[in-house]
Amino acid sequence: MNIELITFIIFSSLLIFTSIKVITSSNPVLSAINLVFSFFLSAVLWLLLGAEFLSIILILVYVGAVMVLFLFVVMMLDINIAKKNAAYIKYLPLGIGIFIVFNILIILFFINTFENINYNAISSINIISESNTENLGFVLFTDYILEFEIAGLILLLGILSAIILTYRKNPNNKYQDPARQIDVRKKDRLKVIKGLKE
Amino acid sequence: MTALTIILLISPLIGTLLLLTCQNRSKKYSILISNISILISFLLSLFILYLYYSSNSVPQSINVLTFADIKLFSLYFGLYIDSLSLVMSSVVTSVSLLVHYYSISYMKHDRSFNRFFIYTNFFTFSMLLIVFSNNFLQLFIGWELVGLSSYLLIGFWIKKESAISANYKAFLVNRVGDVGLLLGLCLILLSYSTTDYNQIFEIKNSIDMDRMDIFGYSFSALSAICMLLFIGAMAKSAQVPLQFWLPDSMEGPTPISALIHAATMVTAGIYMVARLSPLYELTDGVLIFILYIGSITAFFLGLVALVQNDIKRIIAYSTISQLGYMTAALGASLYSLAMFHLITHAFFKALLFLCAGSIIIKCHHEQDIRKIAGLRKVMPITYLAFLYASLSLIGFPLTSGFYSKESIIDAVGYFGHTIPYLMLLLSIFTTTLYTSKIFFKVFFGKCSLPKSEENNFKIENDRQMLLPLFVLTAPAVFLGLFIYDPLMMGLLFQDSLAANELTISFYNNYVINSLNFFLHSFMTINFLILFAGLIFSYFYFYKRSFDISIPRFIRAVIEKEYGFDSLSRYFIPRIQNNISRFLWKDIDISTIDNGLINNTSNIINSLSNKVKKLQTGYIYHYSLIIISALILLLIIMRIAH
Amino acid sequence: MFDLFYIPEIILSIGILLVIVIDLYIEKQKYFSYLLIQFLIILASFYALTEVPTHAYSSYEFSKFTSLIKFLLLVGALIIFHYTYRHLNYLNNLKIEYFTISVLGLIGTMIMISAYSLLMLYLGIELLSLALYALIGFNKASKLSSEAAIKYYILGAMSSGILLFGISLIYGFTGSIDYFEIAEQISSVNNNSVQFLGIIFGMIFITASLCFKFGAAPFHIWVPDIYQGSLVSTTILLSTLPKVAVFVVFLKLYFIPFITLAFIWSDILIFIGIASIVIGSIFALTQENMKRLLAYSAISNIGFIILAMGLVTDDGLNASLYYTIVYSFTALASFGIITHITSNSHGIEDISDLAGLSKTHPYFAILILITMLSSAGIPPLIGFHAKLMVIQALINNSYIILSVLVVLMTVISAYYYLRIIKTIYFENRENLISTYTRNNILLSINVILLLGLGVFPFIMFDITSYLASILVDISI
Repeated sequence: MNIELITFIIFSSLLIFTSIKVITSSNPVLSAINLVFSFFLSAVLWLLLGAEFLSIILILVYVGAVMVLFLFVVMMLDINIAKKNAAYIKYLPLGIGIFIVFNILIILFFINTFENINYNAISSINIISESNTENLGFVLFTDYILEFEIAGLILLLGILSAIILTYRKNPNNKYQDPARQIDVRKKDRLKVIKGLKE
Repeated sequence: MTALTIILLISPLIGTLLLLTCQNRSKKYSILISNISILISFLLSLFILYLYYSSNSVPQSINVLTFADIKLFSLYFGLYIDSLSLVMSSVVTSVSLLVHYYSISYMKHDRSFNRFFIYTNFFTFSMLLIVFSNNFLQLFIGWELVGLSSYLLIGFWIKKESAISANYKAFLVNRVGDVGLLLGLCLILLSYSTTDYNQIFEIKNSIDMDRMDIFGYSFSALSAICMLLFIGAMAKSAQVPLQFWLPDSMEGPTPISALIHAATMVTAGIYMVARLSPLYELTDGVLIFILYIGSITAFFLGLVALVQNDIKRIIAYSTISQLGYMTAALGASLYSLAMFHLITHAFFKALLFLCAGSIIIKCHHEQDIRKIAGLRKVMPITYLAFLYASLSLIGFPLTSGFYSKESIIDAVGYFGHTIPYLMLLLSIFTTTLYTSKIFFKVFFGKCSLPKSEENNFKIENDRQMLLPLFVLTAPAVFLGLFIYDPLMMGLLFQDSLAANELTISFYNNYVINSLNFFLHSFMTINFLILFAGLIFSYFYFYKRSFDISIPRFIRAVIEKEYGFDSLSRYFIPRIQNNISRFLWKDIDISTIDNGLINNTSNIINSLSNKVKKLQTGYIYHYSLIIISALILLLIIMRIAH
Repeated sequence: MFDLFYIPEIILSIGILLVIVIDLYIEKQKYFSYLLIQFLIILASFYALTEVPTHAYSSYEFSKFTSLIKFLLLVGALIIFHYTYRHLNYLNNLKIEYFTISVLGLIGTMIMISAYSLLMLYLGIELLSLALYALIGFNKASKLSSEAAIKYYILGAMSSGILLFGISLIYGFTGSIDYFEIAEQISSVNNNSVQFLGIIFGMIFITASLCFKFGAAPFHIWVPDIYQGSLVSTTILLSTLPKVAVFVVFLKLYFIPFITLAFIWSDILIFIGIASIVIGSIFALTQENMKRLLAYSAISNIGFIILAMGLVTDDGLNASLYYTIVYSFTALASFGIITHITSNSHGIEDISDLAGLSKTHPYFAILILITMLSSAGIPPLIGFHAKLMVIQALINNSYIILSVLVVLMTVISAYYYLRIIKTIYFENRENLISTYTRNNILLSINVILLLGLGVFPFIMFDITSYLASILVDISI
């Protein structure tokens, strides 16, 4: 048993634990924090595979950007702590049953499977240098350029649909129009009315 | 030629559809559409016929449109263009055209004027479909459509109870024949695996020796096919024992009777047998059967006509009898003679019916000839037309009927079929008797019409009703003379009919030429019988110089149509009623409807109601189901391998 | 790298970016933007049919088969957009973004069709799904619409997860994501080895996910809710374009990389097919909502397609191609008609909303009549031939009991199609039915084709057997 395996086991079991906490904890802030943890842990798993760029990018993008935004939203919205309702308890046994069956199936399949396999798929991407970043960049912009472009298209679509689904033009909203503010004249503001004589 | 034929064929159908779409338009509109569509067909028939003969074409079978091509058979719409189909279509369309024209005035007071023309147009179309079909499926479809439209037309006056029962009867009897036709069709598919006429004609030689075993009986497949098909023809062409629907069909409007009897329906059976003559030639025994059926029909049903008093029923029985002649000719392998008689008969019988129609209209729908008399002065044109038609019917020398009928009788005798010959010979006498019975009773004696109309000579009837009489008189009397020689020499139906050599040998050895045949006929026994019949009826019906009392028993037998009447009226309905009641109450309602169908549908409905609840709408239920389904797939895969 | 080979997709992508920008400046003239998009699609479909060399890019395939299917898809999109524009205009809910999102989804379907590697396939599916999420939730005024969007989003994410898991398994055990290399790897793998087991496992995950996208039972569970919740114009899109694309993905996956595993997936597909037919037919019986009913009918139709595919024979392949095209055609007609009609000043929801249509709008009543009869499989309409071909293929492969079951289910499904007709023609209820047009030529052509191609079924048969033949060319 080498050190890599021990690290893997520790971090992956932690990852499973935090992932479960994400969906079971009743406080949304807690869930989000647990999600941050799980991202960190999976970043470690990337590191174990020698993909340092991906692990850093995972932390930067997901933890640094996505989750912070998410936490902001959660806090600003003041969401109440969700109560565990009756349905949750009702379906728990069934869920656990399915969970167990699923895992048994997978275990039945893959018991002792990966031990004797010496198929290191990752190794084949070390093309131009030892640096993982360079390699990734190289294949991304040569072999997988089309996929890369399509991913860009997907992002565009994501932006487009997010805007179209959330953007509402509400006539009751009060907002300032700077152009009109600058444009204003004295007589628009001030109206002199002759008072009545007593 | 093909395109023209297609137009010819579908013109009446288009007429029908047009009439259907504008039901509420004026009568003028219906008249125009129906008559023009038939007129187009008629003119095209003549034109194509002319083209065909002038260009010495050979018969051609064209597949126009394929609907379905299954391994067992292919359903397609095809055309068989040859002399036989073209001549037949000319006859059908010409009679149909005249009947249409005649009907304009005959039906002018009817409320369902439009409906009438829808039916008649469709009727003509169905018949043309049979005439031009080049495969059995199309024949069958046309056959059924003819049955359907005849059903609709016989029961045209839907409020008249007798008409309803008559069309019901016609339909049912035709169903019996259809069963035969259908079985024949199945057998054809089984043994030839094709429905195309030409292909069947080509492979017939290899197949006719095949024997089939059904219920331990062994017989030639071809004979069985021909026999079954002939059963279909028997029903359509009203041969014993499936003849009893035809007299009842007189309940329909008279132009329809003319149409059914002359052109569009009863001839279908004869036409089919003639069309399939190459097959019939190869059978053993079937032809003899046909011959006997034909001669029995000709003789015995002619007798029945003698005791009838309804003018239309008499003519109906005479039709059956004449169809018997045609069938007998088919049975004696004299296909061209059968077709010849079919053609001449179509014209003179149409003429007879149209005359009868005029008489009926004039006498305010009185059809009993005992109550009609002395119309000779009132209706001179009808009188003359009727006279000519009658002469043709009884086969008076030189008329069309003479050539066709005498030839059949003589040829049957010539080829040595003694018993049929005698029967056919005797029916000349009966034919003469019943024809003269109508003739003398209706046109002579004291006028039965009210005084006010008696003197109204000017208006015999509408001109529209008289014109067809004029037109029809010509072919009814003279057509035979013109086409007799080419027909008998085998030129007319050169490539279409089998066994032409029989007719030709008869012609060369016996007839020699039409004039000779005419002269010769005065010296034959046929003429003697005819003459005797005329003399007898002159004295009996006209002078009333003597009275014959037929034994009650025989009279009753004949009046009851040898029991067929009661068979069709009492026994079969009763048995059928009981069986159907059983099938209805015990089998259909309690077992199938309630037991199988309703229960199943109820179960499925309640099942559907229950399972609908699975669709809860909660996302976590859905994801649960999807994950379970995934696991299910894995388990299935695990079990399977 | 970027040759002119990518033309339809490139045209659409660049064109749609332009439209987004142009639309900002001419916000008021929506019709112009709409026309621009339609023009783009016509252009793309024109270029889709031009001759292309195969394998321009290793993970992206161009062949006669893909370009023909793309052409069909583009034509379908053209028709759908035509209906959609008028429908949205009528509902006062017209936004040009609806079309831009649809076109991006359309690009997704085209990527799915051309994908020759699992990664490309995944990207295509994501692009399509993302577009569909947005389109389903487009009707913001309706609670049902938002609900449907959320449902589809979450379940779709789950199915994407399943797909990715499957893909990673395949990658892990074959070391490749390229279809061709996967096929080579699989054929060299020993049948009893662990590697083989892993590949099968991955394949089943992919199958499950694709079945979800296809809407086949038992992964169909989202279909009725989503169909009901979204706008009719979205439903018509949902029920045609993605189905064809997923079908092609199915074909390519099973007949290229997984062809040597046919003895396994054929059983699974037959199971899924039968389950879909049964569930689709029985669930639909008691539905009152028109769109839910059509959703179940879609499930049962997809069952037919998958069943025919599961036979792994030439006639099965033919039948499934035939059925797919016929199904899309019928769906286009049936939903297309519904987009035209409103009842009691809202869209058609319940079947009873259609009562009395025959008296007020006989033209639309006849269209629905023909379409429903075709769906029910009444000869001589084209639906009959499609069902017949599937059943014939079943019998030829001696699945007699299954064919009997399928016929019985067809009878059951005929009931609810006929119920719609009965409602239209024989029920008297006061519905305020209105349509925004007296007739629509495209719709009429569509419905007439249902009839005409049914009378001459061999035209379609020739097309599909040609398609099948060129598909087989690729797989060798």
